[in-house]
Amino acid sequence: MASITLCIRKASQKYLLSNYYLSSRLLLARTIKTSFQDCKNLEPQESSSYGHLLDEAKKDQSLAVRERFAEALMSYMSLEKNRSGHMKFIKEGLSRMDEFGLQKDLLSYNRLLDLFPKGRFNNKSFFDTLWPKPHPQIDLALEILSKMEDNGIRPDNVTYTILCETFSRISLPVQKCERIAFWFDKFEDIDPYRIKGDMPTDLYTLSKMALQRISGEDCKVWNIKEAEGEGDTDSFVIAASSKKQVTFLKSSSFSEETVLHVDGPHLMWLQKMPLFYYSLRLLPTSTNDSENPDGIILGVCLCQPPTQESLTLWIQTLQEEYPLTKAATVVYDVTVLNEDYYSELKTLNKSSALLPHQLE
Amino acid sequence: MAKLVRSSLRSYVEGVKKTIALKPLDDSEKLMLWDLRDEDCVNEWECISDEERGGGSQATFKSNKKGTGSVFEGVLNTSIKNTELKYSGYCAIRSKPVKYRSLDLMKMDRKDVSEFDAFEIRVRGDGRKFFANIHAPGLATRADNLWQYFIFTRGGPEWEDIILPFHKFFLTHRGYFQDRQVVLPLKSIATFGLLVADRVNGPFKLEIQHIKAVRCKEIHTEASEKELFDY
Repeated sequence: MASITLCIRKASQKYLLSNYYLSSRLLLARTIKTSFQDCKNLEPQESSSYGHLLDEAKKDQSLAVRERFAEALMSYMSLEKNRSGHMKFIKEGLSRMDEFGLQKDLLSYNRLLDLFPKGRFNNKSFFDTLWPKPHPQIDLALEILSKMEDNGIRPDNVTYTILCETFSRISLPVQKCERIAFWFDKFEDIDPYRIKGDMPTDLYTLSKMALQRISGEDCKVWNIKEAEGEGDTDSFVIAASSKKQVTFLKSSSFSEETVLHVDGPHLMWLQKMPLFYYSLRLLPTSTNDSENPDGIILGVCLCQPPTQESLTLWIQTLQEEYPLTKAATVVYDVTVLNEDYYSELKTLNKSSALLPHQLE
Repeated sequence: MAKLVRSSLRSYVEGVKKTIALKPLDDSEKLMLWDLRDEDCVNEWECISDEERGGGSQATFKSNKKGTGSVFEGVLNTSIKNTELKYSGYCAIRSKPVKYRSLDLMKMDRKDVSEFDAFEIRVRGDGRKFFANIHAPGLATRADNLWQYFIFTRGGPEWEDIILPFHKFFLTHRGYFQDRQVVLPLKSIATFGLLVADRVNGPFKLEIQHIKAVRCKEIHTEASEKELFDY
């Protein structure tokens, strides 16, 4: 213990007395003065804005999107060998990443972070780690990292080494990088309904996934009408009942008094995709009133286009499969789904981010 | 002297008898914290959205008329009108804190759940991700810190029971996880709340039937100690 305190005392004396400390103090005073003067005659200068570099690179059709962005960074590097004005360029690049559609691309973030000049913002002394110098570059690096965090991108070893080289190991950006990695690893598998891989785009496979999510993996699925056409012109009817519901349909007897109630459309979200489903339920009679005030649910159906014809198709196939249900009366309590409203809902969450296969 | 010894011995024996007579903890025992089928209980909850800070989200919290639960529904909107904001889009409900004296946070009406292992909530969601918020101000943390955990709803027409173990709640400050995690103070839970802020624009709906504190043997077999972030 004593040796450690001695070491610290020696180190502190050395730095307090050294020329470096004094000169840095003088320098600080001088920079504060000059920065005030800078603020007064701050005018947008043509030479310091680098938007045209990004504009030119964006038009280049011969390259892939990821490489276009990299080309803009390269042209900046060749223009400014000393990396002067790198703050302005990185800010511009960061704000225009969404335009390129690269907000989900780790490689582009790494390339952007690599633009900071290395060796200038390192901790040079023991005191720098205790009272870090307020470089604006640190704030900008934190901004880039928080944008990565928002888009759900986990920094990798390359990001870590780049940050270590530019800001040294004990600094705010490296801490932030470690924090993101720690919490992302912890919550990676926490979502039980996570969809592995890319989200499918056609409605048919999406509705199949939704059915399996609602009624469980081992549910019984009816492909009443297979998908015809693609994209927006899809037309299909699929329905599902879970194991418990199937045994109920098989075993119980229905009479004219029992009412099978078809209601909908109800909204459900698969990640960022809205889907509308219809449910079939046995309305409660006076005997089983207390147990299930909502009624017993017997099945779920998704169809496109959402009309009553497709719903009657579903009920007919159910009645053929389980003839006991023919005795019950079926009531349709269905409101018409507004097509415009649905298409508007779909477009609400469309992001401009490119998928991994579109980048190259 | 002899009298004193005798009386103290008698009291000791009585104490031992009492402890033997105590029943072991029953696993099926549950504590109903909030029964949201009851309309009076729903009126004790409060509902907020980012509308008051210049956002575009709207939310309501009412009991549904069938008497099977209450509905938390509205529209989430992440667009930013106010340029001072960086992010937007949240709606939340919470049980109203009952204060003995106004402006005194420490003297709120607290719930004691120290004899239990987890919250059990019966919900019917729409497939979105929700958050459970617990507010328990005390000396260990700042007044506006929360303990939070995720709720992943299945979606569909059926009710589901979701179990939220106490040891899984994380200490957060304005949505950011803290490096130094503090154990949830089970004896002094001030409010329980639900939050939706999953950055998905559009309508949302969550029906809630009740919130209970339950015992759960399975939880103890899991690794209950929380990993802490150290650097």
